[in-house]
Amino acid sequence: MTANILEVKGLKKYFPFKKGLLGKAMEYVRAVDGVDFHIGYGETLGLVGESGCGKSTTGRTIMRLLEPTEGEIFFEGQNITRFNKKQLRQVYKHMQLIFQDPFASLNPRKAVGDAVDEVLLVHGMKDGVKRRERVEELFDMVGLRKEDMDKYPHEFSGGQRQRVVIARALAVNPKLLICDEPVSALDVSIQAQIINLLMELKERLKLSYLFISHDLRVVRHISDRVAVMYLGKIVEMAPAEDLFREPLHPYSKALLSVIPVLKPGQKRKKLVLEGEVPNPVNPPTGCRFSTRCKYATKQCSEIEPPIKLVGNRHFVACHLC
Amino acid sequence: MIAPQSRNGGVYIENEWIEQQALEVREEKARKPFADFVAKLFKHKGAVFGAVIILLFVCTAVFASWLAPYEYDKPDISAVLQPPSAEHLFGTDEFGRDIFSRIVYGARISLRVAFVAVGISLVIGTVLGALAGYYGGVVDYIITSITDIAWSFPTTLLAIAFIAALGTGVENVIIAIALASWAGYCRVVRGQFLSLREREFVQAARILGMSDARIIFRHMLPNALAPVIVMATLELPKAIVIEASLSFLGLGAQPPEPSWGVILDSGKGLLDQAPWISFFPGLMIMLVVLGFNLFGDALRDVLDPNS
Repeated sequence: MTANILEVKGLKKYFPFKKGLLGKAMEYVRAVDGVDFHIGYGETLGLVGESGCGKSTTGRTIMRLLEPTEGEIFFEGQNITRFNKKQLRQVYKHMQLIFQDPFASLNPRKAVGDAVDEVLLVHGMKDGVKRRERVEELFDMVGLRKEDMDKYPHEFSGGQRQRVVIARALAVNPKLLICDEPVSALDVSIQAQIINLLMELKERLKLSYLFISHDLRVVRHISDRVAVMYLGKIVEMAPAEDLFREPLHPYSKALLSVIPVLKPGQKRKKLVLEGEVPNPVNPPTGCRFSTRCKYATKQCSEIEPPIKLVGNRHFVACHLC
Repeated sequence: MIAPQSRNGGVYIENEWIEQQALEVREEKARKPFADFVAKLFKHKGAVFGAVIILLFVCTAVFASWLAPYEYDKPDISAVLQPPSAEHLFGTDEFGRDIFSRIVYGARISLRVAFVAVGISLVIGTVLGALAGYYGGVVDYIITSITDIAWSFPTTLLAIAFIAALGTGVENVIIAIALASWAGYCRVVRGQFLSLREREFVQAARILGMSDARIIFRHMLPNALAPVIVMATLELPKAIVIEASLSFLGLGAQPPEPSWGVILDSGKGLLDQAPWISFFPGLMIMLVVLGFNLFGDALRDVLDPNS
């Protein structure tokens, strides 16, 4: 038994797309292009990056909602990469996903209490009274009232719906929650409530999180370690405090420099990147960031930098660090 | 809810009150989607008119034995080819049978054919469409190919082909119409499922460990049914017309069964002497088809989320 609840090795997800009228899939969108990381028991790993960098694809591929093109996924030491539907059903009892949009992830024609109840039923809880008690308990846990059980999703605000989604995910007693931008669709005031709820639940239920977000402040608040993704690859991974205090990779530096500063009068130099994110169909050779990096050398555009250990649990993929 | 600080007391209170009212109205609407739907239908003139015709038609069929003044198949030699009168509302045919009574009983046949045939084809089409849309790949390829073949023939022609294989009679007409008209549902449901499959709540159901059958029937199907129901409403009059056509051609209900098509057919040689024999069943077919079409169109308008 390993000490890690989740290990991901060399994970790749390519989406084929057709070219020309008769063309077979000749080209691929390299959404996730070789990602390695692990999450320890009780740990929260934040995964950040701008939109389109492959964060969500990573989450969904780990959940096997998308078939990985290459690489391996280990959950509690088991290689689940090639698990069939039946085996996956067992894995899903311990690993759950919370979607970004709480409006889309609930069936509009099902009362929210029934939605949670159904999960208990398919996982073998036959006794209706017991189920009802458990649903009440779950609702209480996520801060919803008993009376809310008979309401339909459209009767709730976004924050409340996300609470329902969390309750539903918790119904199976998971150990690992993959949160795919769980608060991005919510108002800022509600975001804090949901984040606090997730942190509280983590303590109470000994959960581990993979927390995917583009919101750096949220990630900093909730994560133990943070991984920064750029164009399908992890460029830097470090304990949250270290990363936010002293980012090493030029991309991380630029990303963190644009976090708004809360103290009035204090100004920080923002590093605004030039150009656009390259097309993931034809990523640049060598370091993927070399086309936008002001420190880039000839070596950077030719040889892809391996990810290396540079400090206490601090990894970075850069020739110059 | 966090109340924002009022900068301009009076105006703010008024605004808040308006917002509160709007919110309550919205909640009211949201809580009773069905009541809202019925209210919208009642405001639609076409829907009301169509619904009245459908209701009359259904009642006629159900209460035929009370409504019909005569037996539909009893000849009366003393009253052959009578024009419409108080005694024989729609006149009589060459055997002296009361056309009104025959039409009243004929409603039963039309109603049964329409609902049973549409019901069967709806089930066939929906299940096939759901499987094709949910599983995709080879399953989709096979089902879509069969559907395209079925779709490429005119429904009536296909129904005639089935009758040729099955033989005449009302039961066979029902089967033939059902087998000839499921392709439309299949295409619609497949399309719905293709888009629903990518919806997050369906993916959520999958990772929550639900079986394919539960996802298809409990989660996806209820969200795919609205256009299918509209379509079925518009298919009902088509089934009635096809049944009448087949019976008119002698391929459906056989005399002396009082199908509207049969009555229409029986009067076609006597159009100059007794036009009422063909006129009234024709009028009935037209009215019922009109009623269903008006109602179906209205239903489509009301269920359209963009209206």
